[in-house]
Amino acid sequence: MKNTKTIYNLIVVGGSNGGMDAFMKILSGLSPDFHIPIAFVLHQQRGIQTLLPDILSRHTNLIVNEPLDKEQICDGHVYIAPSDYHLLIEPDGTFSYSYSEPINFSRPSIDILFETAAESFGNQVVGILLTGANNDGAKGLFKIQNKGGFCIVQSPKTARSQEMPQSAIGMGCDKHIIDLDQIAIYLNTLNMDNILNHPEQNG
Amino acid sequence: MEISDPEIDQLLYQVKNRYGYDFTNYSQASIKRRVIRFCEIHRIENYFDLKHHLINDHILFTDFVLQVTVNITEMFRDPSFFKSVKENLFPHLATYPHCKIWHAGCSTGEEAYSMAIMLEESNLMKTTIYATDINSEVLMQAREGTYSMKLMKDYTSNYIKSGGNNSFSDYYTAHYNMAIINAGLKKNIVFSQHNLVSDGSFNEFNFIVCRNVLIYFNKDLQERVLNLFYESLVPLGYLGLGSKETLQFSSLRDKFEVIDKKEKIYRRIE
Repeated sequence: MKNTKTIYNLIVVGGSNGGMDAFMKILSGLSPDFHIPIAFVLHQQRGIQTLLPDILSRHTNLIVNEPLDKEQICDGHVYIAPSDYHLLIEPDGTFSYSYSEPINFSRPSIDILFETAAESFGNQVVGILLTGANNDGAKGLFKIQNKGGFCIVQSPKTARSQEMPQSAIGMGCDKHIIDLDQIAIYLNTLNMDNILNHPEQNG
Repeated sequence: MEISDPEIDQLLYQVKNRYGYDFTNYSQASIKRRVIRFCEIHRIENYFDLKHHLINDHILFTDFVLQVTVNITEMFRDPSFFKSVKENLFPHLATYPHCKIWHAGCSTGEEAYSMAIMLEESNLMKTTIYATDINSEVLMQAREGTYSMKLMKDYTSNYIKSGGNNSFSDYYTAHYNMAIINAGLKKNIVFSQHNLVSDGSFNEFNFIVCRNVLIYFNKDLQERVLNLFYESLVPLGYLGLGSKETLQFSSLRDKFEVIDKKEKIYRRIE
């Protein structure tokens, strides 16, 4: 049987104020066989030695790490953007970094991760924009949608700060506005679809 | 503005033929963003105009080089790196009668001056710093050594965290809203133009510092540059990379030992 469903190879997630708690909640809800790689940008104060990977590791069995420059994106990993660098997705499926100007007053910028993911992975990208008090990420999520990717916005009523999800909805990313506690369930479904449709790839 | 990947490839290839600057092996996603940003700054609205202006306007091209390369840097960036250099490398460097340090991709010079300060405080005065960059514009600023006074508060904090012994304000003179780096720090620094993509080795060094430059290169170009560094190091010479850069994915990894894993400091084995 020829399948026509899209296979999703990368999930990119962005959040700002309240984003850490929201992301932990999503991680805790993922099924044990979850394999789609996840890259996460959280706005954080610069210069702070990041403990994010350690903290997040306690909420998941997936491997959590800050990627190195030109590290290959691998299944079953959760990649955390370090503070004070932009994280980019390259077309060859590796990460790269940039120390260029902050975008939307942010470095790392969610827009940069989302836009380069869309450019490099097209319709295989799932973009998720969580709670936050600025509009970084909305433009990037819109780009993912334009390239045929799957876009999820945390429903503003479940967000600590509504501005970030609200900006994305305002730009037209309004197909999947989902309550925080439902996002993991959505992702588990996409993960299951990948396995069912491409058993040879995900065995 | 949208530019496709083949268009970027074509543009960079033509730039290479016209001007001799080779950006074709820069990290693809990254260089594309820089080119689009350049277009936005100059209000260039389509690929055809971009190509036309860039190939025919030499002055515009000078700005292109400046904009597509990232020149943002600071003094004592990543204080833990400088601290590690002082603790782990300086005692070894002190055993040489004369030391040579290469800052590759020095941009506007902040890191070279930071190193000069550390060397002075550790009495490693017989050291020459060679600070190079692809951009003649940023090198002019580096030679001037004049930075915004606004930044000095952050730099002072970095300096203290790096293990500085004195008062940071001893190293510059305030002039209106600018801080002028002391002339004494400049006398052991040689600033000159060098292109890591196309130029070869020009000396033998005890320590090569190249931080947050390789992130802008693809793996092939990284390999070329790391080979250049290997050839330019004395046996047992040190290499310091940026905190996200690594030798792990390079064929040269077996020719170096790790001195500080977190700070990405390596040593040429023989």
